Amino acid sequence: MLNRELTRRRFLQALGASGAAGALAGLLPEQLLALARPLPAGEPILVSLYLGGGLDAAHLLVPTGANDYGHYVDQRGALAVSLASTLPLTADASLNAVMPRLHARAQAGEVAFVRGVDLLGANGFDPLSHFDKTDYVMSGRSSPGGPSGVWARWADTQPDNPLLLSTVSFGVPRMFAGGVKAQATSLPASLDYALGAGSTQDERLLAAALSDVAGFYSANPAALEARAAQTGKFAIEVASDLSSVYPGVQPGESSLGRNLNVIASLVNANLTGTRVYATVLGGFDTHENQRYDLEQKLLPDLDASLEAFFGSLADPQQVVVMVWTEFGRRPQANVSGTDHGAANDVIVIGPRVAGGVYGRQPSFDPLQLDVNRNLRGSTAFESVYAELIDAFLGGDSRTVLGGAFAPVGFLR
Amino acid sequence: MLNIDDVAHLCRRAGFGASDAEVRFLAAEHATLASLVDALLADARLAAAPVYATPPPDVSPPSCVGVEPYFETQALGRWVLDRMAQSRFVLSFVTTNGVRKKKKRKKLLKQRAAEEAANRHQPHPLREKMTLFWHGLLVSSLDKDLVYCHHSTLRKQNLLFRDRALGDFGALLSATSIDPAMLYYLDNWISTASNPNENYGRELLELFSLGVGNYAHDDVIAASRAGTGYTILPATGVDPIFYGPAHDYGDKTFFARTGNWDLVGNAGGQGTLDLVEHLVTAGGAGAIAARTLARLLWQFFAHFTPSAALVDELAAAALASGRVNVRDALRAVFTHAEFYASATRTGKVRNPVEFVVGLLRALALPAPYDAAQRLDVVQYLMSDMGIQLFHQPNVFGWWRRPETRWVHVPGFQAKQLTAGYLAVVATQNAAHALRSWVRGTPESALDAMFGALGAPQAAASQVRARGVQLMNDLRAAGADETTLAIRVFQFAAASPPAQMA
Repeated sequence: MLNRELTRRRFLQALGASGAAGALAGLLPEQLLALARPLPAGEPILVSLYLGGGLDAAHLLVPTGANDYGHYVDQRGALAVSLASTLPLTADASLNAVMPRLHARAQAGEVAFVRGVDLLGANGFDPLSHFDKTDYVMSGRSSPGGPSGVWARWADTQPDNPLLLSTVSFGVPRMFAGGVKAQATSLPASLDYALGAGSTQDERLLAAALSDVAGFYSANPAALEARAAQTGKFAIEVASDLSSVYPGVQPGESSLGRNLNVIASLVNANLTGTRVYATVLGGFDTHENQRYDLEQKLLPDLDASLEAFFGSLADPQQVVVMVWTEFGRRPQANVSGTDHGAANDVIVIGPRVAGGVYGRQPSFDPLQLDVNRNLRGSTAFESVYAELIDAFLGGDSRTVLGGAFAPVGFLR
Repeated sequence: MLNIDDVAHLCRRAGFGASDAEVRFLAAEHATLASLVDALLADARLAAAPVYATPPPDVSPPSCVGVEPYFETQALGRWVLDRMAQSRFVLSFVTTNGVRKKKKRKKLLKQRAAEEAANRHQPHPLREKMTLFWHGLLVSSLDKDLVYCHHSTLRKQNLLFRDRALGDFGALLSATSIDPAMLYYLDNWISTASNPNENYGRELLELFSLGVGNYAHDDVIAASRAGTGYTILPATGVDPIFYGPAHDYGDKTFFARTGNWDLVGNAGGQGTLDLVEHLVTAGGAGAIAARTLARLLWQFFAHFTPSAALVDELAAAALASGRVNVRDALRAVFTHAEFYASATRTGKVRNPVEFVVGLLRALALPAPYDAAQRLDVVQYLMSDMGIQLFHQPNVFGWWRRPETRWVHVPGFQAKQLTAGYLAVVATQNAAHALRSWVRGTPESALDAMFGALGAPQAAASQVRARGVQLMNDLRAAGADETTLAIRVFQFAAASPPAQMA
């Protein structure tokens, strides 16, 4: 945000002029590709898009049902989305008009909105803490049961591939961490000027030297120093093998647009064998200024970036995007925002999705709220994961989730 | 005479490293680590308010409307990086080691004090490091529009963290609670009796003092109500005020005690109970806050996984006076045997700020700024390493995650690129030491670079040998002096020994 896109362009220009940069083309041994595994045509790929901070889903998918809208307006007051500012979707749900592209895609039957999703029967953590709640959602568990992430446990059941789970500009989040096998990596948003991508001789010599260093730490591979060495070698391989398929920086591209553009390019190139990608858009913790932040900045960015993403895919049939957030917002508004809430919507997008609105809309009726005056969920987060595993990615959700969860039915 | 490695380790962790001369001087001056730690904590520069030879930049107008204010806000980041890079533990090398005669000794100490006084503007490493600690714990970030629009408040907040970096935790927490950048960042400025906003009340308990599991949601609500009315003067947009009509003077139940709780105890009214005071005193929740602070200090300075027994021990020291005290906690950390154990020495990776400061110190450069392009390459690349100063991604402190947080593909690329960029800047000066290093033998060049980078262990012989081979290969390939300097420095800086803290 805040002119970062402009900064990147300016940065690249300045660095090119400084002489620190090399030229293009990958020249190192293709060890990375040897480890990775191109996917068979049409192999399903999941993209997890985390909206950090807790999206107010009711501001996106407005509950317009006869029993809902009045309570929603009562609770939210001036912050409520007026019906005139929505695009109708079903008898009891309308989409905020700042998302026309998502609306068109929903009309085409490619978007599932799952309402009232939460960790049901949650205990052992603070459900209103961003960080506690996010960790548990990412773990796919409603109570303390170990620190591993839901996609890391799924990856443990899949063939070995160091790039099976890949994030772009997202570190390695909890949902990819703690597996038995190390199959998650974090990729940069740009490989311009990355070591390994250049072709000048001095740069090649430097890359070879820093790659060799990793071999000196094999005695104790778990030590931090050894991990730093291995990561350097891996980073050089990534740059060498992937820089030619990384997209150029587009004018006006947001950071979310950029991250999704990189993911689309990697999917199209089919070099890495990645089955689950993840990226993040932050800024949804709208305790104040909610209408402006959501309607003028975040939701339009989300709308445009998702549309551009699907437009860039060679085979959209292959891909499902899961848009999720840690919790919803408190029904009763503050002056211009909302505090931390509970049940919320998950949005699932792609041609393989059976479009529609699923799950029960949690009631905004003050008498129906939970002990913290928040919305009550009715669909377990684990059910969303279970369906994505059993009906899309492949695998056994009971192994991954430690129990059987009924699918929602949002996949064809 | 202390063990040189112990002293060097202390200087790296409590600061940003020290030269061989500084380490040897400190080792010779003290018989025990406790005496050395006490002397560092008793430094006159920590006893008084900091002296600034260069004041923090007074950044551009408090407005969102303007061309690319993003670049202006980075000036504060450069000022902070420069302070860290210029910080020195030792301001005078006048030694009393071996001097027995009282009179002579007294004279020498007087001379040393005079030299130290003359250099009081030199930043103290521990104050800089603790300011970074608070920057990562009591978060206010430019990534929130209202902070961005009033970014002079961050300058003020950083000065507040400096002033109160090593003292009473409650005093710092009280001041931060009504600090304008914080009022904006966690929305307390808009919290009123009729519409309390829970953002600050929650994070005060969850992240700043007690931790999850040590409070109930009702306590969050009480804390939020107690903070209503602490807001910002609309006329200036940057000055804190207490606005009585917005304050909730009603009874609130906080930790099972009902009364007129007030966030910092200033609102007045009958029987006012000071909420922050409750959090930091032995009679209140101080034992819990002391444990939180002890764990965090250990994680920041030593390693990420202190045992419960160690946390208890450090917390007891932090609370010994009856109030949570930062200096007392630091003394316990730096004098603990486990702080000097092998697992501690190998248990920390330089975070992005420490890494960049290490590069600036190695090359004796100020944080560079390309004024013609209005471009701060280094701070830009820091975001790829994981954190850019004053752009914390969220309220959960950026260093409060395991060390592996800093070991990833984008981070490695940003580190080697930053090293390359700074080497380019350095070599633009024909007389820069980096050039002279690569005029000698490859062995001496590698030793000079690893030494300047303050790598904790002498670079493993295989790493050094591979660097030597690289330099020979580059020479054989006809690389000129500039290319040699840049590439060999990149090798040293991006190799594992120089990434460790």
